[in-house]
Amino acid sequence: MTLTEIVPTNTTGWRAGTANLFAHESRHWWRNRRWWVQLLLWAGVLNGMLLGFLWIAAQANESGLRLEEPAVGVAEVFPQYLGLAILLSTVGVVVLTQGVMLDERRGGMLEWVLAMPVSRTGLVVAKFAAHALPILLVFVLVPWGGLYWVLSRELGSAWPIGEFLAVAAMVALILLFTLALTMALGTWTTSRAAVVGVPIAAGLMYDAIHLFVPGWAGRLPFPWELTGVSVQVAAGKPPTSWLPVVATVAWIGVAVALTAWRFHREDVT
Amino acid sequence: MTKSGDFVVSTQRLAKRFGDVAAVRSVDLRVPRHSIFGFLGPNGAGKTTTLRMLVGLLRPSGGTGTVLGHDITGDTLELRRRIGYLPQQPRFYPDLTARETLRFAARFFYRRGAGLERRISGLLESSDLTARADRPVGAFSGGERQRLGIAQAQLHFPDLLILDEPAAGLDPIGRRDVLDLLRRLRSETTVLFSTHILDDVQRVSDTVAIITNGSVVAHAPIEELLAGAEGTVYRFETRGSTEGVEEAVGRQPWVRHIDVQGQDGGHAWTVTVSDETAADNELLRLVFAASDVAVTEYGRQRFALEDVFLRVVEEQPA
Repeated sequence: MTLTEIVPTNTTGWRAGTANLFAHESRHWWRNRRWWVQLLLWAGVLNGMLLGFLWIAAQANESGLRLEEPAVGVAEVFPQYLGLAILLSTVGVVVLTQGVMLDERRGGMLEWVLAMPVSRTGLVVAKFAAHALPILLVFVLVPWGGLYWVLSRELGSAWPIGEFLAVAAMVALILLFTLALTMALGTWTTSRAAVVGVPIAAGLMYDAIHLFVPGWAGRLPFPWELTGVSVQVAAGKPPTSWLPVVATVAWIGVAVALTAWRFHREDVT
Repeated sequence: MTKSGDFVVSTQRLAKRFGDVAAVRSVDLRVPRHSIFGFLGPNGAGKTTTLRMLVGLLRPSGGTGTVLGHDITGDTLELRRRIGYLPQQPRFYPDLTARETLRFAARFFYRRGAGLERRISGLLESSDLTARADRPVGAFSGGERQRLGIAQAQLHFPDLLILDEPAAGLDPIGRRDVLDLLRRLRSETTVLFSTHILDDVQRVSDTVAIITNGSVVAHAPIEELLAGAEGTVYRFETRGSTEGVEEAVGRQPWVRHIDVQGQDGGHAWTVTVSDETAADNELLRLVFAASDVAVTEYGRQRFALEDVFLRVVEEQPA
């Protein structure tokens, strides 16, 4: 065996080893039944929950009961459903991706991998991309296709596609930010409780911030504002501000960059 | 005379601190090209930390160093293309098979292809892992993981192999095979390996460095270390009268120290000399000058590495 029989790779800089790491990391989803089990689970949960909301609204209407905020039809039910759907999806993403950085740091494999010609930035980017694509498929693309069909059937005609896609895109952004935040925490700490707890607690408690800055709901440059903005859009109203959308894109970049920055300073022991 | 360019590893006062703890205080290493360099030290002496700095896994807190001409305090990406590294207790992804593990490692260096697959199969065979090649690494024994680790380290024909405790966890046959492999690799590459198994070092190394408490306390070709720092020692036993011989030997300018102990009608001699050639030519002649003396045993003492190691380590303040 000589070197001439084997063709060397020639990637340099942050791309060194990135494609190999992306393919390697993707195996967590595609090499086993995880992807389709999660796909069926989340398609069932998200669509089942919407059907449940619609059923409750229908029962309330038929029995003459009035909810605190009357949900008399699908146009009112969908915005109410959205907040819970986003929270559940966020929890799902955190649970599924909590170990992306943490397990590798704790498991001792990093010493071996990082001794090879690998860019640490490339490793972070590869991990983010390898998990972002299946998360979008499992939590947004397929389940939300089902949601569109349910909503259109209840409405009796096609649901406004522009609004629907805008809402789905905002949900996708929230989930990508959740992934980036979970990865960043997995690089900065070795506490699994922190990696899991912080993103979920932030999603649950964020609304309390509006008590301190009343009147700024929907205008603050934080990803968690997107829940409120998407509810507005789902209700057919124009958003208070598009700033949270732009800010979330920026925060995703910041979280990935912070992960890479911290990872570059990681002493592999 | 060895030129500086002949060293593939060269460090000056390399140091590493973790908070208040100084894991490595001052390491000066010179690893000659195509040598088998044994890096010795007791547990916790700083061997693994030093090797991790050489690979670029840890940033030195102080000092400088180059490996294959690359500065280890900067970006080590290009350096890592040219070295093969076996971590202490290597951890691989447990769900990958041995073949997939090697394929994953290989794709950092090479594109897919039949040549690469042949290289992987060849390494599996030479590591005696062919029968286990398609089983998950998670089910491997420590020895099998170690062999896989050594295989992946040589996969890309590195210019320098850095092996952290390569014989740890191996049975005697596995250890023998690893040492044979190191000998075979000498013509192709340079090997720097750490260990606390002194016998392994003595059997294969050309050059040795001993580290204790984070500092290198001895660094020399192994022959020089084994000869003893205080000079070469001759030991022999005589029977019969040696009257006047002790004085005659003691007067020689190349004799540093002489000790004669009487036992069972004979004498046991220990003569420390500064000039081996003179001693080889003259010492026996001086002894036989006494007419009725017989020499029953004669030899130059070779220190075992263990003697040198213990002496050097125990001389150091705790």
